[in-house]
Amino acid sequence: MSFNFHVISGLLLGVSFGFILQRGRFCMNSAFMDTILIKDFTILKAIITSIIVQMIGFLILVTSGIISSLNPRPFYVVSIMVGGLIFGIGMVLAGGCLSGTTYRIGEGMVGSIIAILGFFFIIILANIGVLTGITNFFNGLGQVTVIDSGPFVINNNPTLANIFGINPWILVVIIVVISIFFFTWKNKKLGEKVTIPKTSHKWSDNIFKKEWNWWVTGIALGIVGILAYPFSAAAGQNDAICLFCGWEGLSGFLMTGNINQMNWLSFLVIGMIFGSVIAATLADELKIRIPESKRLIQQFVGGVMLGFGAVLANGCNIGHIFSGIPQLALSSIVMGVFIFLGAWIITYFMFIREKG
Amino acid sequence: MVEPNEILDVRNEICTFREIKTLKKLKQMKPGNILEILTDYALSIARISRIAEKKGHLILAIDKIGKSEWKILMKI
Repeated sequence: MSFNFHVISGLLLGVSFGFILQRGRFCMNSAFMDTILIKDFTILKAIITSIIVQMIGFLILVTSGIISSLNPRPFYVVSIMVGGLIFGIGMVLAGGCLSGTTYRIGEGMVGSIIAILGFFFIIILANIGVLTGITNFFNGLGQVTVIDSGPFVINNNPTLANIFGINPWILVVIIVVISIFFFTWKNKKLGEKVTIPKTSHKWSDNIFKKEWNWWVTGIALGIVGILAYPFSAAAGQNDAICLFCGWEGLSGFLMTGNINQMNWLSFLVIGMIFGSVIAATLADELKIRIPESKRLIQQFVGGVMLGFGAVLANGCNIGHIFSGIPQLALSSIVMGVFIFLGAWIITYFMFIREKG
Repeated sequence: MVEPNEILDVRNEICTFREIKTLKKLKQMKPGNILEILTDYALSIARISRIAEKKGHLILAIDKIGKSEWKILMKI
């Protein structure tokens, strides 16, 4: 298949990904923060839905032979833990994870552009600058591999299925059942369910009518994730969506001018920004918003931490949580836990501690 | 028209700092008070509504006051 085909498939899937993220207001940062601050799981449920849809989808793809194998990420223990922690803190400071930051560029959030500049800065240092080799150093501190990778997995990286020697299908069924229990479980609410009061302005109803249900967002994103895998594989990367990989390719192109630095996911990232612009324009939510300078500096630092964390962990919230957990990768599950921990630590120091 | 006791402007803020500022403000307010929140990000309408729901406050009105700009009235 030609280069143009890959460019177009990457851009189109990117546009749909960005569109759904914007419309669904999918934000892992907000999901984790809502869980920590007010014990609200609405956005978290969208994330879990997207993960279980992909769990099933990826197994169908691999059993039907559409993709050759699953490709869980390597579990470099220290790299993943340290990377996850730094990424989680960076996510809060940057005002969004890597997916949130990407689609917020399309909404006109200037701070998110600043965060991406911070991200570029650290990627340059890590790839051709003074930090070259830092990942290798951390990776050298320990890796977990398995001898028998079990069905569907190409490498020797651990997954929940192959460390216990269980068929992935059985695990997926168990996880789906647990998730459905979680979705239907009602947690205690103090106030009344917010019903939007009738006003003379019809748009106020509309904005909430346009607000997607968490499960609609989750399913739609899951479908894009499933579709992306074979297109990404056809373009030469046997992997699901990873925004860090896309942005890294893009930064490589911007630095060297060599178009070959761009990978399929780089086109997906570009498409995402366009998709978000389209969605935000249709919803009348496109607007240039510039935070105060103190906040912009904070977002730059956040972007640096997002980049550093993703370099160490070899993936961002999307590569690991969104695409890696559906493959049951142990590295991605641990990454998810440490991103959450990072977010919790910074929230503790900024907010919870002050409660007294 | 309800007169707010306090106004919190989180326009040009970023994700989660709007909500953190809202939570901090809510702690300083007395029951029965009205808080007006100005925001320019649609996601925060849903999230601030859920804060009200969780904390037992009442959303009185959500009005669009400009391009991607809203005013939320909350009764403590």
